[in-house]
Amino acid sequence: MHVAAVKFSDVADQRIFAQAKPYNWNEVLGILRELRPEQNFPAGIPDLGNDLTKVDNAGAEALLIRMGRPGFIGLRETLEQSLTSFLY
Amino acid sequence: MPLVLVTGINGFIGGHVADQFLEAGYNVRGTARTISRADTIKQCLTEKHGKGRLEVVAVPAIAIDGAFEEAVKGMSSNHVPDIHIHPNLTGVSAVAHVASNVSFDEDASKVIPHAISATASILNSCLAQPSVKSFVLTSSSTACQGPKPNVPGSIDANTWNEEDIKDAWAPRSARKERELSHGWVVYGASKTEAEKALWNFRDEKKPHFTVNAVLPGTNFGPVFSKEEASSTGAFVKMICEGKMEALKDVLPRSLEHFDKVESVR
Repeated sequence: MHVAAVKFSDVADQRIFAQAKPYNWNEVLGILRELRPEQNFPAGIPDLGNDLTKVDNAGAEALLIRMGRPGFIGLRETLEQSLTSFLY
Repeated sequence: MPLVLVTGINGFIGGHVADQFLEAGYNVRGTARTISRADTIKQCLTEKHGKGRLEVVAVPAIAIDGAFEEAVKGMSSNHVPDIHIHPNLTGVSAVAHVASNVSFDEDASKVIPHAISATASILNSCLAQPSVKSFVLTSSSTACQGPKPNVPGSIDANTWNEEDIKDAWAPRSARKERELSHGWVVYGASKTEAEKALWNFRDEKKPHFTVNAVLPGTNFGPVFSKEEASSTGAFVKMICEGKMEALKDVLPRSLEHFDKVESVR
């Protein structure tokens, strides 16, 4: 997003919402358990709410596509990359 | 190749932003409070993108007048540049201002004026530097609103976190019950005010460069160094180490995750 804002001179005066989708920690935990079934993870957090806010991120995603990307990356994929980088 | 200034290059977002600019063919001048704080990221990015494309300069206090002046316009003559293809007096053609006060101090007076001054300081240095073509501020989802679990709503370019600005300055005795710790309220207010300072500057000074703000939420993704993971980059590590309690306290229970990492192969 930062590169797009610099690279494209017609991108100006924008608030670019670099936010893919809502998540919560229990969803993150669920994905981590699936990705690393052999590892012990802490228990989830009870009564965790969900983010119901709609964020106007269409412009941000359009910039990603303009940069040659497929759009926002998925939570599972980004968590896998994070785990790998920590050698988990 | 154009040269881009990336402030706060040693942070999680700063490192990824620098990586993305290098990947896209730009050269990068990064800032950190001290040179040594950026040793690890400099080493990682140099290994990945080759020598002579990245240099780091120290900006010890980001909120004082002229703090970024040399970083924006080029180094003094006694500075030995790492970027051989750029003379050491080269001004930058773009600025990505990522650096931010992440103390999470509960005292609004220690955080909010600092955040506003830091934005104003670097923008004024850019105004004096004709080579600057674009400026992008790393704002935050918290500049629009704090987390509101289970509350439907919508956020667009006109949404501002007035709630945190109001609550941040309330004396301890008058603070209303919030799901967030007060340090997060102050942080949200500081990001809101810092971004407002950007748009006010644009309106008042009509700069010769374009301005934009990027508003990330929580950022997941790979770290460049597992020993120096910071900010939201450390969250997965915290979970793997069983530190849910810290996340429950520190982090708004639902936010967004983000794109940047698609870069890292």
